[in-house]
Amino acid sequence: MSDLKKQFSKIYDEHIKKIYRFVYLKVSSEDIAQDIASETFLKAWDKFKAGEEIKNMQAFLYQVARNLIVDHYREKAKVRTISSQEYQIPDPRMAVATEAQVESDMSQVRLALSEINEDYQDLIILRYLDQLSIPEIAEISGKSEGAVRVSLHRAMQDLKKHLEGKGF
Amino acid sequence: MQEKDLVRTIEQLRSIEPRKDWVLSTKGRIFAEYDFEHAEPKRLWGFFLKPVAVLPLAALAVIGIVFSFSALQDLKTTNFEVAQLKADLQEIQKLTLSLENLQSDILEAKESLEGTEIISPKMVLEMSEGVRSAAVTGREVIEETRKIAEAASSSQEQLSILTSITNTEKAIEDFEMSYQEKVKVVLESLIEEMEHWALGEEDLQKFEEAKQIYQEGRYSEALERILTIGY
Repeated sequence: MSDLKKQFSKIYDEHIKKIYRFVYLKVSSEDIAQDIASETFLKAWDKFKAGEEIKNMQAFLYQVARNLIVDHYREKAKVRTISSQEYQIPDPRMAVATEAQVESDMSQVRLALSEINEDYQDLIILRYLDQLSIPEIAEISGKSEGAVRVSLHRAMQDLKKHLEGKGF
Repeated sequence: MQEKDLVRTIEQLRSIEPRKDWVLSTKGRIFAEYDFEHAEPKRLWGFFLKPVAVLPLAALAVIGIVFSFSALQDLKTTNFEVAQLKADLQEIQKLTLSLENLQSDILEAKESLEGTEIISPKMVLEMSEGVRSAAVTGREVIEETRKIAEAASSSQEQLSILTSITNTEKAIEDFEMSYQEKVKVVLESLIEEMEHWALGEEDLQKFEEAKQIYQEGRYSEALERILTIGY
């Protein structure tokens, strides 16, 4: 395997799940999430193999994915609707009794997450799902670290409010 | 709800993961084109490292043949009265000479084709149109020449041109077979390589179909099928 391929293969393995999840939570469709995640890595690979400088690959991947999501909604002018069936995210390790409750909680969170503004969604996903640091999020979002902290706090408040509105 | 409870609930969304087969097949697709372009010669394309003659040579030879055929096509009988040609020995001799030149061009193209270094499987398919049109035009010319030969009064001249026709037909067949052999070798290495790929359901079906078509000896079709994998 060539060095370039080996290096990018590592990048792919490291980020594919996060990027897929990031996209999936924002488009709520497995097919569309797959398309957008694939295209994100194809674009990154094209740039990478062409020898173009990518200072922060992780930030670059999220930025590309986010732009593709925006393009997707712009082109398709889709209205996001989330059916109850899409909430099901089975985890075989969980006991059957607790599984239903957890799924229900996750569904509520997913629904509430989809209802808050896009920037807040990004911040919550990046911070609490992908466990990125504040400086990393600042680089991806193009904001200062202070602004990220403030926005993140507001995002959580907003999410909480949405969940409480659902009797959570 | 406490923030830590909210965070814990959000964290449960980490169980959302892409399908493993999709992760693998996407990776394969991303690298597919690069692999074709940068395949290690010993592993994949070593058999093409004969005396290096690259695509332009083969392409030129194919184009050359088409030009030769075009020139010969002027001699088609459609614009001639067969009766006028009956006694025209010079015309027969001219045709015989043209057919010999045609054979020579075909042989040259075949040699270029055999020595061509294949850079990517798509390249083989791109060459197919040139090979096909050259063979079709060549056969049209042969058919018309045969009509003239049959109408010729001299049996000696007839024999001469019929021999030339047979040799030219053989040269065209060899040329086509040479191309098919090229496709076959590329196809076999692709199949061998892709056997190790983790393909998704749809791509796996395409791959199985391509192998079946390959078994039936329809190499170009099988290659076309394989190249749709991942798209």
